[in-house]
Amino acid sequence: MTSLRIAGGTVYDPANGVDGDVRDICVRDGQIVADVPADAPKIDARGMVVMPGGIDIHAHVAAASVNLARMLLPEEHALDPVPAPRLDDGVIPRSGSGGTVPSTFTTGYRYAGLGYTTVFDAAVAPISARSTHAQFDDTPIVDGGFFALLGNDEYLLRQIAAGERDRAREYVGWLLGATKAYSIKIVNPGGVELWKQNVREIKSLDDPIGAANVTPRAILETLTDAGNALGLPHPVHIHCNNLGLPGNIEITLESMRAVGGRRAHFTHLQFQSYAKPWASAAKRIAEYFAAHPEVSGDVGQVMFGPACTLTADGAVEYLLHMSTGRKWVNVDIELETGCGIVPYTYRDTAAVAALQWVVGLELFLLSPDPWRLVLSTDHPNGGSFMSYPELIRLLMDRTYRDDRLKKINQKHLAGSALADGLAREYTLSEIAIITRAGPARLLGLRNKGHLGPGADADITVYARSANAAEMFATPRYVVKAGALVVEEGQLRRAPSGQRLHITPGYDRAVESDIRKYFQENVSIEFDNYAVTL
Amino acid sequence: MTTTCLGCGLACDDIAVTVRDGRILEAVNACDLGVRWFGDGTVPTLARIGGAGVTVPTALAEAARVLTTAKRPLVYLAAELSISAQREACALADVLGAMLDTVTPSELILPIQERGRCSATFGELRYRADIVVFWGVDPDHAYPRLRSRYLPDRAGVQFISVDLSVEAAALTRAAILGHGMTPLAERLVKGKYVAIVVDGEQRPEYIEALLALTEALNGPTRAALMILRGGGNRVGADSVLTWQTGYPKAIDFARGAPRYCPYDPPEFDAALIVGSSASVPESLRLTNIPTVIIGPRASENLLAAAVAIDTGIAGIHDGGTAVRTDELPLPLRPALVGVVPETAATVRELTALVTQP
Repeated sequence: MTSLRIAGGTVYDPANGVDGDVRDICVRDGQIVADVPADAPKIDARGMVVMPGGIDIHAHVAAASVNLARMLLPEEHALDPVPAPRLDDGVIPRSGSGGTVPSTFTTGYRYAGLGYTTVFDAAVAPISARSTHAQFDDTPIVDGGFFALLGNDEYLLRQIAAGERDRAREYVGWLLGATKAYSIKIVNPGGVELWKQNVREIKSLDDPIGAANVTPRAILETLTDAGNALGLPHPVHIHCNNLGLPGNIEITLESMRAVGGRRAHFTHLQFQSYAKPWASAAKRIAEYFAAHPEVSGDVGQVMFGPACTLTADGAVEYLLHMSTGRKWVNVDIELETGCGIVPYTYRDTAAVAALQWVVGLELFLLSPDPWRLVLSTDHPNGGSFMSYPELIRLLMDRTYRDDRLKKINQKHLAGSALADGLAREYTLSEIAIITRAGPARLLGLRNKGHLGPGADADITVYARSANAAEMFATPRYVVKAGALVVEEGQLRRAPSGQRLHITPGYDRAVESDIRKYFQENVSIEFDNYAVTL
Repeated sequence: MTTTCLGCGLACDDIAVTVRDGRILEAVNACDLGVRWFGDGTVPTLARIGGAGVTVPTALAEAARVLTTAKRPLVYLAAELSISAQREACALADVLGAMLDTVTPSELILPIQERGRCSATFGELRYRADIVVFWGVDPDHAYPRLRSRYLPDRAGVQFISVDLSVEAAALTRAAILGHGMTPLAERLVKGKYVAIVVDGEQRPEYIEALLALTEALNGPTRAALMILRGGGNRVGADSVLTWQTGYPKAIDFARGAPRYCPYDPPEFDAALIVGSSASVPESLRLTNIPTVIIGPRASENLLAAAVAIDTGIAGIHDGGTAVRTDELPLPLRPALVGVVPETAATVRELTALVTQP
């Protein structure tokens, strides 16, 4: 199908200032165009809601670590076998399994089935980038990219110790290009290296990580500056120190101040916004965001039910394993990062889980700017991406939300803004911002997240419903790169997605030093590190 | 550019292969095992039906007939396949509604799925470990370059050899957890980073106790269990099958969606072996059912194969990716390209025949 007209829908395209206008959206050769001939195939979208395809700025779907989590969960997969869909495009349809960490084909089909057309894996050990690309090759429909873990990288730490920040930047440029990554990820800056030394606590941003001048603060500054100097479309993507611990709001805000005035994205802020003793500190994040237009974030909402916690932050998973007794994977990945996995269930009867649910909702509801604080559950950490429709309902429907709030553990909710009553209800336009237009803008994806001429023809059409969860769970039509992948609510086509990656400029002189470092320290050959797509 | 050797699970990627007149002359840096793995790179390039030479398309058509007329076909992945070939074979098993299995022992996988694992990549160990325990494994025999290339060579690193024993692992674990004391436990908890090395191929039944021991060591100190795997791309198969289906092996597609059956593999009435039949277990070789083999030296196999199609060896003729025993993916850079059909492409052609309307 080369042309298509989506006729008469109510269009929410906030990037172009379109807020619920009735108009046609036209598609030709995979792109949005101003018009198509009158005899072009037509979808009757009258009465329906039309938005750009969803964009997930932070999920875990295609990393070697994700696959270790998949292997760890046969009991979940057995409960959710997924037969192959019936496709019309000649592509071989594939069966799979679901649960919190679905198989790759199921991941692609299910994202598309929710109207999502672009997904970023937020944490890839650069040395295993090949595995990520291979998993994305088997994740149909969605465009995919990833952020490369650099916040505990030994070569980088050595450059910081030596005061070689220029070389650190050149290294980052080389590494992102070599692994076909999209941006820089920092996880627990310095803290993963300390975990490898069996040190599990960071007291402040100025704790030394080995050398006295190598600190979480220096790592944050070096990588934030490197990302901005390299002109990355998405700035450094930061998971702060002390994730999940009471009182971590202080180090979270200190991290924001450390890179103040510079573009930086702070991820799954829900896990980073706790006062001590346990209480919500979401309001302080909202205040910081209101005063600092250069900062962005995503929420990392917790949803009640099964999850699989999965992070490069190995020390966190050790604590979770020790406190829950549930099974645990830890992998120390040479000189770059770590990996920890613990399956987990968020129960509304549990005091901390209830607080986490509240903190996430408060971040959304107190947010001064939906363009800069976007939707995520840190899939599968706070809950599956399959729970996004339920999350959208919580944001759009105060009555539903307040009813749900009454039924959860109240122990840590004293003084919470949500418990005191937050009237805000997200509009459809704001939902389009936090799930499409906002992520596209934060990721620097100019051809995505909007429906103007020249944009990628990634489009979702929803039938209206009073129940927003129902509406967003089952789009009537989904178009990906011009192909009608969901038709009358059924998955019908499964084209391959594109890989989103960057090729930053860097001074190739740095390569001889990196090569020498590889020969001395890394167990694979330098020439075998770079990935060809 | 160097290439990656799949002679054992260590997947050394520093091998410089020299070729002359279509034969491998030399594999520089390879150990004896590696030199044997590469050989001279010559392989047969035949296709047979019941012993008679045919063209590849004819053989594929007969293979498709055999597999589609079977009620319960098995697709079996031998050890030495690139992840491309593993992906294609998994797709074929899916569309056939077949049983899919690999050489990976269930005794190795099930305890990991039950308990999890504490592990590391080799570079981390080489950089950090100060105690290395060989648990019933003589690495110089089956993994000749383990010590020189992957384990620490700093002064002061302690190497300890322990006989295979579930009891020793259990007593040491109990001691680490505060119940009694053993000399080994006393030494291990004083380490900064302990690497325990075990051979996952020879005695997988010891894995469970060692997973538990390694987990217990984390807390008092840091520790990683290194499960060594044999030649080929066995970890790659575990990985590919896991990401495509949710399970690493023993997958039954007969009901239209993957079902995990590591305990009670169903009966089958036809088999497709992808890869070299040499790594196929005895129990499979003795079956008296129609068998299709697509893999290196298929035409020379000792099975009574209904159909045999010779294809390339991963890393020698076939390109792509292999996964090292510590889960790191490495590129395959075949020295002899275009002399024999690629395994992945051949399986994909078979899938196209099977799915033809």
